Formats: sequence, C-alpha cells, structure tokens
Amino acid sequence: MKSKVLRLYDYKKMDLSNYQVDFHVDQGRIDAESNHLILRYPSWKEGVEVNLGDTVTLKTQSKNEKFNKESLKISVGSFLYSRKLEEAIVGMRVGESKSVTVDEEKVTVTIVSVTNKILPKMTDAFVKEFGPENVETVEQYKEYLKNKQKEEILEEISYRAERAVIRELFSNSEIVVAKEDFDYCMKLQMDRHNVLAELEGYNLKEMTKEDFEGKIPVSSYWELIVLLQDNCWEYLESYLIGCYMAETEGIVVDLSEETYNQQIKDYVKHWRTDEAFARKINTFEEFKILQYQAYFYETLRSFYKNKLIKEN
Amino acid sequence: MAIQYATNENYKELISNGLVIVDFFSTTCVPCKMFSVILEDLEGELPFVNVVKVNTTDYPEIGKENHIEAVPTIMFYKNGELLETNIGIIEYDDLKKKIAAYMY
Repeated sequence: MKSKVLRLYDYKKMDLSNYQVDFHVDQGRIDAESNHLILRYPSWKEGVEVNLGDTVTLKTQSKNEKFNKESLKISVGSFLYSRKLEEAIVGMRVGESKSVTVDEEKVTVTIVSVTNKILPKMTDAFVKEFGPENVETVEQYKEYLKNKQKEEILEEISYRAERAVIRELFSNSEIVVAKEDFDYCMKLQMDRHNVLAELEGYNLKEMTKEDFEGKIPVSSYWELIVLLQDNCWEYLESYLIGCYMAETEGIVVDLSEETYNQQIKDYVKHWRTDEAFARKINTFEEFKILQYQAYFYETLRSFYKNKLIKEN
Repeated sequence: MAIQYATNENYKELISNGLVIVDFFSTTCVPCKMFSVILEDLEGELPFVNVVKVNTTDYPEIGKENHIEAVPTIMFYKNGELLETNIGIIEYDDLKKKIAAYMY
C-alpha cells in the first residue's frame, strides 16, 4: 500500500480517569462459585443412613399407583419426587419402614439402599483436577475468580474508553491515505458483502429495505455504500497503525499460510460451510489486513485495560 | 451412569433403557457449552439420570437421523421412546422439573 503513518500520536499519555471505575471484590460470588465447584464433583459411597443429598432407592406401598413402586430412585432434598416424603426419610436406615401421608395418601416407605453423597474439600489437589485450566492451587483459583469479575466489568466499560482512545489516536496522528488504498479496502468489503448476498439468493444492488432488515442496518444499497465507506476509514487506518506499531516495536505479525489455513478450517467448522466458500469470503489478502488490525486492537487493549479498574 | 458420549455404534443402545436425556451439540457452539455445564451440575445432584451427548460434528449421521437442524437440541427418551424434543438451552431448574415429570 502507498498509504502510511508519518507520525503516531502518543496515546499512552491519554488520561482515562473519566472512564475508570472502582472495583470491589464480590466475596459472596467467590464463595458461591467455589461451593458450586464442590457440589459438581461429589463422590458416592454405599451407606446405611439417609442424609440430604443422598441417592436412595425406596420401596413404596400405597393404594395410589403413583406411590406404589417396587424400586424408586430419588435424590433426597432435590424435592423432585415429594418434598414431604423426602423430608420424612432423612435419618432412616436401610431396611427401615415408615408410614408417611403424602398428598392425603398413606404411603409405607421402605429404605432399600442408600448411596451417601460425599462432598470433596477445596484443596490444591481438587482445584488442580477439577478447576479451570492452568489453575493449580486454591489461592490461584480465588485469584482466577477475582480476575473473572474484573474481566466482566472491563467488558462492560471498555467500549467507551476504546472508542475515545481510537478517536484521539486517529485525529492526532499524521496518516497519509492514498485513494487507491481506500478503494482497495472498499472493494474487499464490497466483495465480502456480495458473496454473502449471493449465498442468501440476493443481488446486493437490488436488495430492498425488507431484504436488508435483520441483516444490515441500512435500507438500500446506497446506504450500504455510505456505511461501508464510513467503516473503511477505521478499517484502513487501524491496519496502517497496526503495521506501524509492529514495525517500530519489532513485532512480527503472523501472516503465514499455516495460520490462514487454520482460520479457514475453524470457519468451516463454526459456520458448517465448505472450504471453497470459506476461502471465497475470507481471502488471504484480507487475512493479512485483519492480522495487523488484530495486533492494533490488542495493543490498545493492553494499554487501557489496566487503567480502567481502580482496585479497592 | 454418568455422562456418556454416543458413537454411530452405541447410540441406539444408550437411549434404550430408562429415562435418557440426549444432548446434540457441537464443540464450537457457545450455548452448547453453557448447557454442558448445566449437565455437569445435574450429574452432581442426580447421578442416576442418564445423559447421552452426541457430537454432531463428529457424528453427522446421528444428527441427520434425528433431524437435528440446530444445536443444542435436547431430546428426552424413556425406554427408547422419544418423549420430547427441545431446541436450545433448558435452564437447570426447568430441566429438573422435566426429569421429575418423566421419571415419577
């Protein structure tokens, strides 16, 4: 491309305090999530006495067919079968019988077998086996849950900050844009939209307001051109700045065919389409641009993400 | 029981006995991952409920036979008989209500 960045605005000096939020750890959520992990991986052991959470096989006898079962498996305390009956059998032992009135029916319950639910302890070994990937200790797990809360907040607040950084960066940097490069980027975007329209059986130029509805927020082909031209500035400038950043920082952006082919494979799998279509809509030319854009957005994100959350 | 993964060879056998929840999923689908977590929670509470997972990317034939057009699709079988088909996630408490209705 003939276009290039002559001078990049020093965005790292930007004051983001207007976008900053206070972060307080929600300890209740950390406890609840830790407890959830424990509940998900119990162990089971043949037992004698019925406790809440156990799996119990019962024999029930009643005049009512619903409560007349030779072998009935229930989870005590889930209250999926009968709250009253489940509460009544807590503390009973294998072989014991009891009469319970359920839904105005007299039911004789006999405990046939009990499998006790044993909840694990939150230890390093447990976390290593059942916790998230690369988390090996209880301390690391708590830190992981805390960071998860931070990431969620960041997800909510980062869009406004990112747009502000991009606005400032674009308007204060010196970038020369050649018309042919702008046209090239427009062509890439138009080609992509034409392929998608064809796939749905449309001719892009002839699409009506109704045809566009729910697909692209425009009501005519000409509105689409205006939208794409508008998007094209950021498309091109983010690419150019990505190239500039990579060059000045000595970073080699991955433009290998191997990575491109992997992305095509992922696209085919995700969208359940064929490889020829995937290559038609995701050209190698565009892949190279997108890789530099990704580097640009990742660099910005790593700058602002640590400035947006004020930990208390 | 526990969660079992179906293949072309064992699918019919896996759904033939008792109440079985069949989860048709694909590895790249985000709602499928959310439902997968719900099924793991279920296993921790109701270990005697049979869950069969069908990876529709690896076993498209099973998906085709069952007319699966979107994932996750959840089917409830009792002794091999199809009771209900649900497209999309079923929340944990709703899933337990369905199990209670079909099991008891």
